[in-house]
Amino acid sequence: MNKPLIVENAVRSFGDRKALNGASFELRKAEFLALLGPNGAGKTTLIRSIAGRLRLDRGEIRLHGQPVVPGAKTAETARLGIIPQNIAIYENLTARENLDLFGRIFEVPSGQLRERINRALEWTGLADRAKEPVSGFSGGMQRRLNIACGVLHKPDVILLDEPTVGVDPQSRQRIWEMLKQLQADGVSIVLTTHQLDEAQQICDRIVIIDNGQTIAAGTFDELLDASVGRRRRVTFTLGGIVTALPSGCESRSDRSATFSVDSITADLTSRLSQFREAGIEVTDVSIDVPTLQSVFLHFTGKELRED
Amino acid sequence: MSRRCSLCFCISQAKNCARIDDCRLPARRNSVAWHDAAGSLRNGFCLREQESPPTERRDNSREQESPLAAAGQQQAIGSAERTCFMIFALIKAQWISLFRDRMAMALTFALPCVMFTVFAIIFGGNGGESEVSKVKVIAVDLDQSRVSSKMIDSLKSMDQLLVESLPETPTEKSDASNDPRMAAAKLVKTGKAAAAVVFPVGLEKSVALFGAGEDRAGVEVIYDASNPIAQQMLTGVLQASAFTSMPDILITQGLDQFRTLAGPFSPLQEAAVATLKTFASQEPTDDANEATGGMKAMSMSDGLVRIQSTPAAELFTETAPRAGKITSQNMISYFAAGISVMFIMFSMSGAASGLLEHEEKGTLERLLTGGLTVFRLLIAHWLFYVLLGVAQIGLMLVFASIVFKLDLWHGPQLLGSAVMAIVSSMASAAFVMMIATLCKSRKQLEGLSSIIILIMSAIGGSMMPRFIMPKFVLELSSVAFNAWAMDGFLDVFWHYIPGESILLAIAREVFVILAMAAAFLAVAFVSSRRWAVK
Repeated sequence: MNKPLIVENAVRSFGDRKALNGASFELRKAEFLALLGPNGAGKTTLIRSIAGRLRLDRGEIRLHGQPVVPGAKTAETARLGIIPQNIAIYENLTARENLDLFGRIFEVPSGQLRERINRALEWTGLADRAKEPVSGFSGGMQRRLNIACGVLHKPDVILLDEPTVGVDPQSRQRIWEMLKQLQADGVSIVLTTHQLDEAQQICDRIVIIDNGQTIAAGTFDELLDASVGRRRRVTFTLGGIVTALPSGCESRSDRSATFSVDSITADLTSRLSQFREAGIEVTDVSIDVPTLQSVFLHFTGKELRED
Repeated sequence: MSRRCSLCFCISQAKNCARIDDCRLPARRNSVAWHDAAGSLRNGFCLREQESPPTERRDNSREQESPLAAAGQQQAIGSAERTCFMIFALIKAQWISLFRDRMAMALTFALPCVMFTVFAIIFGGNGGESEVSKVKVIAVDLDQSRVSSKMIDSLKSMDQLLVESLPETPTEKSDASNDPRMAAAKLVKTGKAAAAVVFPVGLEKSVALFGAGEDRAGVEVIYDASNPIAQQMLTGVLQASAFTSMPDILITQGLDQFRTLAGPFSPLQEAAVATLKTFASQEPTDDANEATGGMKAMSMSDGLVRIQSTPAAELFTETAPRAGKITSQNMISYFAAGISVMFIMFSMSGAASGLLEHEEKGTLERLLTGGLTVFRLLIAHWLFYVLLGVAQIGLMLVFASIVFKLDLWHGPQLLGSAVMAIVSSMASAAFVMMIATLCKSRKQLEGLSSIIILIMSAIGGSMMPRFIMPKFVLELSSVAFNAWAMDGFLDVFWHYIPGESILLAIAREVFVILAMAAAFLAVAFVSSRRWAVK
């Protein structure tokens, strides 16, 4: 199955409000897909629909080729892992007890449960604290355990809802490493996140959702080409006050000048040569690289956290 | 065409799939590995038609470790065995959470014992052996006659009364201090005495003047309105003492009335009256009994009719199938049951708030995305609450038996209290679960459950015996399952007749309680649909 998850024209309303209004996307095998959107875009509704917890008004969701029937427990849904945004574990239980509980709930074969728990503890770096109540864990540790509890049954498709919210950079890095390991094992991953820089670097493809609709989907380069383009804005910091600048300057101040270039390799060298020939000293060069933030703003017209 | 395996219910091409390692049936787990149609060695894989060739899937090690994912097998959803595993796992998790929360443990198991101890000491004494505090009564003897003296002596002989005279020195300068009646009233009003009894001037003359009119002198009882029990008790005691403490005076007065109406007695009649007076005024002695030829079988001070009080339980001691005496019924067993039933509702309510907490944190949603259904979730929590209640009641009864000598360790009492503990816990668990599923947040649950439980405990008799409540409250209590639970426990400890079936004795209460439990569970399942797929 090359596309373990397919969402087609998903529509779901809550009263008069349409949370999903035709959202569609496909998840490929062993792909790391980022699902981006401002608050209220429909991301959580979409994830709950994929998990079978919400019934769509229209549209279809297919998991491993089979339609997802809300409420029904099938072999396909058994191969799905959900990691919620909340740290949904039992704080009075130890890490091992939490894994044991969720392993049984998600029907991990009893003969394999103990081994999988041990591996999960090693994987999350919690082996030496396996017998301590989770309430004493840091946020990052709880997040890692939260993920482990959701993948103990070794799903093929994992949905993560903001898995790194509220954790320190080290823990966040650790979590990303864990997810990349899963991807290397062939797991297909969908995650929602507000960490655009990380989504840009880690994820294979990006789907942008707004107002319940898919407004853009593709790799970062594809989205870049479809939005702000690949041109870079280069700002030269000048050594002194310059009155005459080479042509093509888009903006300037007393001590800086900004140009747009298509190729860093060719155009930057050319611009530096122009400054040298004009006798203008350049003390610094900064390149404004288009980011997912600028792509996102281009498509949605709003900041990621805007209501 | 896919069919469902008859053994593990996965979808398979064959009637019996080769799902060996993961199969729940021990016999099949012992079977050897098999070869598929292509000749490849397989172990633990279902014969389900693959959606993609095996080479496109992950490596074999991952396949073997996760037969579900690698081989695309389908779980035997809904099997009773897996349901039990999930429910057991949830119950275990809740027990561990409870044991690790020391405050919750103290509130669940220690606090009820403390509350029971307080109630038991207040109402039951230390197994009935402690001294009962007396009711202080001020006696004001204005008549200074033999009648008033006799009646005051009779009051002083009562164990439950502490009779004192007015202080000789007035405590405060006021006009009232010169009036003994008002002085006594002041002591009652200020709480220094529970009541005062005033014997007015002319009392002796008016004794036994039956039908003599409204102006005859009578004993006055001045009481504190906040303690009506003292007034009721004194009224009864005074009438009884009037008949029992002065039989000779009653006879004298009665005969004087007779003379007035019928004329003077003859000398022989007067002599007989004199003898009768002497007889009536004497205390009973063996010589007097012999002298009167056994006529005086009992003292006149016993009253017109001799009254003897006997606990019902003692009448069945000889028919008891076992040796030993049945402990007399007391308030210990009453409050052991009452406090137990009340506190299991409180502790279960606290546990049920955990259910809503899991909903708020998202744990509930996570469980429901797994193999758990709303039905299994509720059953798991209900069973946990039932076990919690049984443990709580059991501990309370054992505590009561050790410290307050509750008669527990006999066959019928043990069996009956065990049955009542189980059914009471079942109903209480269903009740709090119903409330929890109707509430949308923990705060709602905490506020609503406290009010409801207190009201039910009050009308159900957990705090005060229902037989002292007004009739309409008694009727209202019939809708409270804890009232039926109290009745059941009382049937076990108070009303049980040795030799009869304890289960039959509590059958009615058990049936009603279980019916209520079923109704509560039904409502809980309906209202929990908000957790189902929307």
